[in-house]
This record gives sequence, structure tokens and C-alpha cells, in this order.
Amino acid sequence: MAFDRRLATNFDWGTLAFSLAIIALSIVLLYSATSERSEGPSGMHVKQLLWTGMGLVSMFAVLCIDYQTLCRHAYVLYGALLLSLVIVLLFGRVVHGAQRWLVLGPWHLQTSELAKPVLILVLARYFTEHTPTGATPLTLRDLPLPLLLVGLPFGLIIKQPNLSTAMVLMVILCVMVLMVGLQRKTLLALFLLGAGALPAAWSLLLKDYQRERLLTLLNPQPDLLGAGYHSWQSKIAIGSGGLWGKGLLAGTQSRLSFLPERHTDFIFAVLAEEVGFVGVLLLMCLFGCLLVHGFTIAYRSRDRMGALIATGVVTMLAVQIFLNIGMTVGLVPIIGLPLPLMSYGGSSLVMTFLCLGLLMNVRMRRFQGSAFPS
Amino acid sequence: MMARYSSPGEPGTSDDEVIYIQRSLPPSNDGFRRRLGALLTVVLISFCLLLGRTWQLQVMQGEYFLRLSEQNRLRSLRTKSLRGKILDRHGSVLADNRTAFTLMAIPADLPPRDQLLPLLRTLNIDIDPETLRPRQRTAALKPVPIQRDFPRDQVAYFAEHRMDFPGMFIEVEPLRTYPYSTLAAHLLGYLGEINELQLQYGKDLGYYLGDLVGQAGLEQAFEDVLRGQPGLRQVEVDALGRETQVIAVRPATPGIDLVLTLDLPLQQLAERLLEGHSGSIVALDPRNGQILALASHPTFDPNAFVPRPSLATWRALSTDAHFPLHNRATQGQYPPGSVFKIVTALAALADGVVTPHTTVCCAGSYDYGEHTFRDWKPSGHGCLQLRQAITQSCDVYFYHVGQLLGVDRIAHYAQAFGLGQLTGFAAGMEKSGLVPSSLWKRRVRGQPWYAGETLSVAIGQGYTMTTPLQVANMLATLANGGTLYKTSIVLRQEMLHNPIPFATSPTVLHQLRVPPQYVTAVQQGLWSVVNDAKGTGKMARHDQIAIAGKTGTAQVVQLPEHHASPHRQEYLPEQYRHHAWFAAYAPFEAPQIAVVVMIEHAGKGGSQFAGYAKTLIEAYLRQSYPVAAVPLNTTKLTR
Repeated sequence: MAFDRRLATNFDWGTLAFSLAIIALSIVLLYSATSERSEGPSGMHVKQLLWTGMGLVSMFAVLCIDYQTLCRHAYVLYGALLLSLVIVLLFGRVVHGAQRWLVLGPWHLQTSELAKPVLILVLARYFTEHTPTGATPLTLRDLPLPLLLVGLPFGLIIKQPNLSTAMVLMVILCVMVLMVGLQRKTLLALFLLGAGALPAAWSLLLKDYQRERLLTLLNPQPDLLGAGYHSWQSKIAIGSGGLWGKGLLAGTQSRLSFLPERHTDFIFAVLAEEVGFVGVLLLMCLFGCLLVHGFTIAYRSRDRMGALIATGVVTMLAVQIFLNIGMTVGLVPIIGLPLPLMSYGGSSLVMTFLCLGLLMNVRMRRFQGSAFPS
Repeated sequence: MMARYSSPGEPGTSDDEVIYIQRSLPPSNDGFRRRLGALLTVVLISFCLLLGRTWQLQVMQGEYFLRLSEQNRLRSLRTKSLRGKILDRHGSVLADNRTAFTLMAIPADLPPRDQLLPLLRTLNIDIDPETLRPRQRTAALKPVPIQRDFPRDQVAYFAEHRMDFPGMFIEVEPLRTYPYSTLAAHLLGYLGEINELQLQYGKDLGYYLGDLVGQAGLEQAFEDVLRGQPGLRQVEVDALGRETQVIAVRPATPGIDLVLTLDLPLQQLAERLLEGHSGSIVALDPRNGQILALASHPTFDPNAFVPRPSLATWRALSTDAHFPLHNRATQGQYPPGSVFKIVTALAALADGVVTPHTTVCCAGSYDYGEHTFRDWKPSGHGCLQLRQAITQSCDVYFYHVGQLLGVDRIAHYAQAFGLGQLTGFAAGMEKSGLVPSSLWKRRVRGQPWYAGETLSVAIGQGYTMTTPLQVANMLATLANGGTLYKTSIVLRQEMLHNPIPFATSPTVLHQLRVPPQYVTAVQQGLWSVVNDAKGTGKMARHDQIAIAGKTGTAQVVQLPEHHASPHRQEYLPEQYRHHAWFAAYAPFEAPQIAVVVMIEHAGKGGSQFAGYAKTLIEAYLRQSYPVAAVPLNTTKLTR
């Protein structure tokens, strides 16, 4: 396979710079959050650096293959994804009551993370094939197949159960359908259908603890020692940080374990507690820049497929950022969901880099086709 | 599929060059870019939402949450103060502290029920975890005891596996021990866990749920003195309640020791004499009102209340027909019987109704109105003066003077002798008894006083109710010539063996204003009771010690109100027999001790128990006791 020289000149420094800046912030916070007063740092930040290295490698690997080629093999990847999800359900390791982990020697993989990039590719492929011109909006008849494509991994992931990842997949599907364009009356019909299906989903899809979390959010006087404990401690951590924060290594909520899952899902609360609103502002700016940059890539993409891939990646990042931070600040029910590039965890980090690789892929190849205008 | 993207066979292409034949249109051709803009707007708005919320939490409510995070982090733990000891007047320790371990829990840090139950089971603790659940959220951070007197082997096990028991810790908490077991149990009282009401009143004093406080006796009456001031340790804890560092310490102040006026050997002798009876013995120093002995029988072992009585013990004590928890010496109220004739006699002399030489003839009964009042001796005592009347306890003589006096003058003198009021040695430990008067009857019963009732009152029957302690104080007042002292039980208070300022001088409640020769006349009557050949208290006679005394028989079932209410008889099934009194003091010329022996349902009068008083007086005045008191052997806690 040839490596176009233009790829190097068009290298997407923006995405790389923003994501590495976020990673740097994350490493500092991980160092702070997991250091014991008596025992010193736990080494998690070093491990995360290792994951970052792996993520960068896989990102460059993805960069080297044209996203067109990737899309061409999307269905193969899709098959592999389904297979891995089935294997996890059959042989996966159970942690905290959820069967999410595939153990391969020293590696523990969360294969559901793979579903995000693979489905972005599959959907981009499907929509470019079925609405090549984009002139006609989608109708109800165009929807069952993409729904099925997402539905299979969605079902398998729900079964684990891993509601948050499954939800992200659904949001990606919805946003991509909306971006491709939908007939107005179809949109209306779907909206009504969705409103009708909510109660059914409530009773059939959700587990007891998930319902409790949702109710906790609605209840203004939650049981602070029971179901509302995590949300409440997270709010205390964030609020007590104030404008300037308590300082690194000085966050009492996180360091004395009042904050649950402080190095993974609640890393934002550690940031808010130790570095304060200033740190939050910095992180949000970095995330904002990354996303706006991603939007530009989608906007300026060479073709429709690239635009859809970029949109998918940006949507995925935005949804996860919103849900994770929303959950720590008490706007969204507590759902186990990592903050991209910030939370500790190999699978999530490598997957995020893979997706960013797709984004850069689209950005770098936007000039390639210019010699052959259609 | 491949053909749609490239056509390898076409000229001008090579394998390593990708050619895009049919490509999707650039996104600008449809509404894609417009919708992309809309999506960006949505994303930016949601970012603003997150930032706004964070601003609200961190900047607008920052101080509130900072306070909450401090509350999370900081625990104020009390270090309990060592309770003051209780000693007798010679320094023997009656209530002490011993080392004990208490398993404590901070409710907020305990694991959920399904994890907690097996944890508690490994420690051999069988309690419902619900009892540890705090009633209010604010109370969830305050430690509560799970089990007191935690066995030592369990303590060792717990210490080794501390990390397996989140939210629990071991506290060294001294527990009370009473080395002389049942000795003076009613007087000393016992401790128990603080109840809801006490908690409400004690909140400002720093009492917490689960604290052990005095629930009876002196332990309760002198709770504020004995308790001391608890100390404070402010520590930082993690989410599992484990201490990470100590921030501040304020040491506890130990409680103050109470040195009682009680004389341990005398108390022990009194309790031995009471064995086999239901009754009480009180000994006072007539010179100052100090309580030397205060015994009540049947009794109980206050050690059984440490840390709390077992259900079986409690049931046995509370359902016993002889009410072992009842302090008969201060809370038992009985008609004084003939002992009351002391009051009637003095009232009659003081008010000039009779002189010491007035003669009244007794034929065994006294007719008054339509009723005939009987003397205890049916054949009568013949004609006698005051001294013989007291010596032989002639009822007819006192019917006569009582009828001349009227109830209200009798009541006046009864009160001057401290009857019908608290003797005052400690708060909440005694009953006040009753001295009837016409005013009282009109107010309480709504009826006028009938003159016939005065006759019963004159010989200590009727409505009159007294406690043995009151009778002892009455006798002490007579013995010292008419000074009514407030009884006292605390000789001094000590802090680490140094006396602390405390008013120890005796308090005079009332001074009888009666010509001394009348007091002497009554005193001589009492001397004759013991020393005269016809005296009713001959058994108290002593060769070397001049003892004066008075017998008494309190009729229980022949009281008018007992006739009137039949269910009262049911309530007291075996109690048809009279109570026996014997009150004495010695030495006659310069009294040092006043003793009251009161035996419930003894059947006969107090004459047969006069010997008890003699034994006590002799032992006390000679300071020689048949047996020495031996304390129980327990691990004592030294400061």
C-alpha cells in the first residue's frame, strides 16, 4: 500500500495536539488521585502512559489505511465484532455483576468499546451506499437495516449488561440518521413512536439498580447514604473545589475514598476538586477545541463517507463527555461511562485513539481526491 | 463491490495507486453542512450547560460544599472520662471502674445489611443491624456501641482482622464494678444506657446515644459529679471510617470521687441482720444528720447491671414479689405505729395539754363518740403518767391526749420532726411520706376531718405515712434535743485524693422551740422503754451502754381505706401481718447514733427486733464488728 507524501504534509496536528494535551492533564490527575499518603503513587499513571503509547500506535496504524479501504472491509470488522461480543458473553469475566471483560493472558479487553469505531464505519458505509447523492431524505423504509446493524451489537452489549455503551451506540445511530437527512413526517412518526416506547423500555430494558439511579436523579431529597451516595459525594467533591481547587494531592474527597471510582468514571470530580473551576474550564476548552476541530474535519471532508465518519467520531466523543460530566455534576443519572482521554482504562483509551485515528484519516485525505472531481 | 470504487483493469492505473471512480458527492451538495452546524450548536450548548452547572456547584455553592467535604473528612470522637469512685467514710471503695472493651460502630460507615450480618456473626454478635441504623442523617456519624464488655479473645481477633470490619472499632471503655456486690446496692444504684428522655435533656451536656449514665441511687443523683468531662479527639477519616491522622486532642477530665458518710462495717452488719426479712435498717449520726447505714432487704447485685442486665436477671428482679429493687429505707412508706407517740407526747407537753405528771387511767379501751378504741393490751395498763405511758406504749393514754390536742397540732410537731417531707440527702431518692391534717383532708379528700380519726393519728396509725429514714431522723432530732438536720450521705468530694471545696457543715432544717425539760421527759420515757422492767424494748438493754428506744407496730390491714377497697387486699396477698418498728439511740447522755429497724409483716411488734438495734449500737460505739467486709476480686482500673 502506498503512503502518499501528501499525507505527511496534511498531517492533522490539531487532533493530535489537543488529545495529547488532554492526556497530559489526565496523567497528572491520575497521579494525584491514586497516590496514597503513606504509600506514594500507585503507578496507575505510568500504566496509563503505556496505554497512551499503545493508543498512539494503533492511531497511526489506522491512519495508514485509507478510510475508504476500511469501509470496504467494514462488514468483515462487523462480523469480528459480533463474534467477540458473543465470546465475551460466553466466557467473559464478571466484574461488579457485569460480564464485560475478555481475558487474553495479561490483557483484559472490553470488546464492547470496539463496537463504537466499527459501527461508525459500518453506518458510514451503509449510508453512503444507500443515499449516495444525499438528495433524497431517508424514509421509514430505509431505517430497518441500519437499526438491525446497530441492534445486534446493542442487544449483545445490553445483555452484559453495559447500558451506557449501548446507549452511546444508539445515540451515534440517531445522530448519523439525522445528519444523512430524514423525511419530516418520518421524523415525526419516529418521535411519537419513541415517546410511546419509553414506558416499555422502562419496565423491560432497565434493571432495578438502573431504575433506582434514574429515580434518584428526579428525587430532590435522595437517600444520601444509599442510592444517592455516589452522586452526592461527587457533587461535594466538585463543589468543594471552588474556583481554584484544593490543590493537587490535596483533594480530601478523592484521596479519602469518599469519591467512588475516582480514577475512572469520576476523574472529572477529582479535577474539579483539586484544580477547581479553572481546571474545569481548561479541560472544557481542550475538549471544545477537539470537537470543533472534528466538526471542521466533517465539514471540509472530501466526500460524504468521510464526513459521516468524522460526524460519528465527534458525536461519540461529545456524547460521552456530556454523559460523564453530566453524571458527576448531577445533571444525568449515574451511569458507568468513562470520560474520553481522561479516565483510567486501556480499552477505552485505545478505542478513543482509534476513533481519533479515523478522524485524522478523514482530515488528511481530504485533498487526495481533488485531482478527480466528480 | 470492489468495482464500485476502483477499476483495476483500466489503463493508466497501477496496483499501488488507488483510483476513485464513483465516489459519494461532497457534503456541500445537500443539507448536510447545515445539519452539521446545528449539531455543533447542540454540542456547544450542552458544553455551556455543563460549565454553568459546574460554576453553580463550585463558585455559587462552593462554600457549602466545602463545609460538607470537611464534615465528611473530620470526625470528632469523644474520649470518655473515667467515672468517679464511690467510697465509704473509711476509704473502702464501694463503686469502682474496671477495664473493658467496647465494640463501637459509626453507622454511616457500616457495610450494608447483607454484608454486615456475616461480619457480626464471625464476632459472635447476634443483634439486628437495624438497631444500629441512625434515626437521623446527622447521627450517622456518631459512634454507637455494638457490644460492651467485648470478650478479650474476640478483641484480639478483631485487632488482627481490623481491615475486614469497616465502620467498627474497639474502644477502651471503663465499666463499673461494685466490689462488695450487694452491699448498699439500693443506695449506690447502677448505670444503664441513656434513654430518649435523658438524651433530650442531656444534649447540651454532651451525652450521646449509648452512653452509660446513672439510672438509680447515688449513681443517678450525683451523675453530674461522678461523670467528669469527656475529652475530644478530632481525626481525619477515609470513606471507610478508618483514621488517617489525628488533628486535635482535648483530654478528658476524670469524674470526682464521692466519699460517703456511710460506715462500711456498720452497713454490712445491718445487711446481715436483715437476712431472711423484708425490711430496712437506717443509722444516723444525730449530731449532724449523716447517714451511717442505709440497708434494705431483699437486695440485688448491681454488678448484674453491668453493662446491662440480662433479660432473665431483669425479669427475675422486676417480677419478684418482694421487690428487691425497691429501696425500703427511703422509698418504703409505712404507718409509724407507736414510734409516733414520741411526737404526740412532745406535742402534748409543749402545748400544755398534759404535764409529765398528769395521770390517765387505762382500762384496755377508750370510748369516743360511738366508737370504742382498743388498747393493744386488752386488760389495760392501769393509771399511769407520761413516762409509764411511753414505757408501756399505752394506747389509751395517747388516745386521750391526742383527742385533747387535735390533729393539726399533732401535724405541726410531726413536721417539726421532719415527717411528711424529704430528709434531703440526695435528689430523687426518697419519698416524702404523709402527715395528715384537717387542711390536707379537705384539699385532697374533699372531706372534713373527723375527730375520731385524730385518735388513730395520735398512736401513729391512720393516714400517717413515714419512711424508715424519716423515722430515724425524727429519733435523731429527739436525741439531740430538737435540732432537725438535713440528712447527708456525701462526706466530701475528692479529685485524685485531694478534697475539693464542698459544703460539709450540717444543714439545720428546723429547730424545735420547746422547753428542754419536756424534751428530757420524752427522752427519759424512751430510756425506760429499754431499761424499765415493764418496757416494751427490753431486748435492747445493754449493760454498759445506755440505750433509749421506742417500739412500734404498724397495722396494715385494719386501716380504714384498706377496708374500703377490697382490691387492695388482692394486691397484697400475704400481707395481713403488722410491720414491726424499733427506733433507738445511744449513748443516752450524749447520743452518737440513732438506729431504726423496720421489718415488714413481722407479725408482732418491734420488741423482738430491739436486739438488732442493740447489736448495731454496740458494734458501732465499740468499733468492733463480728466479721470484716471483704471486697470481690476484680481487675481494677487505676488512673
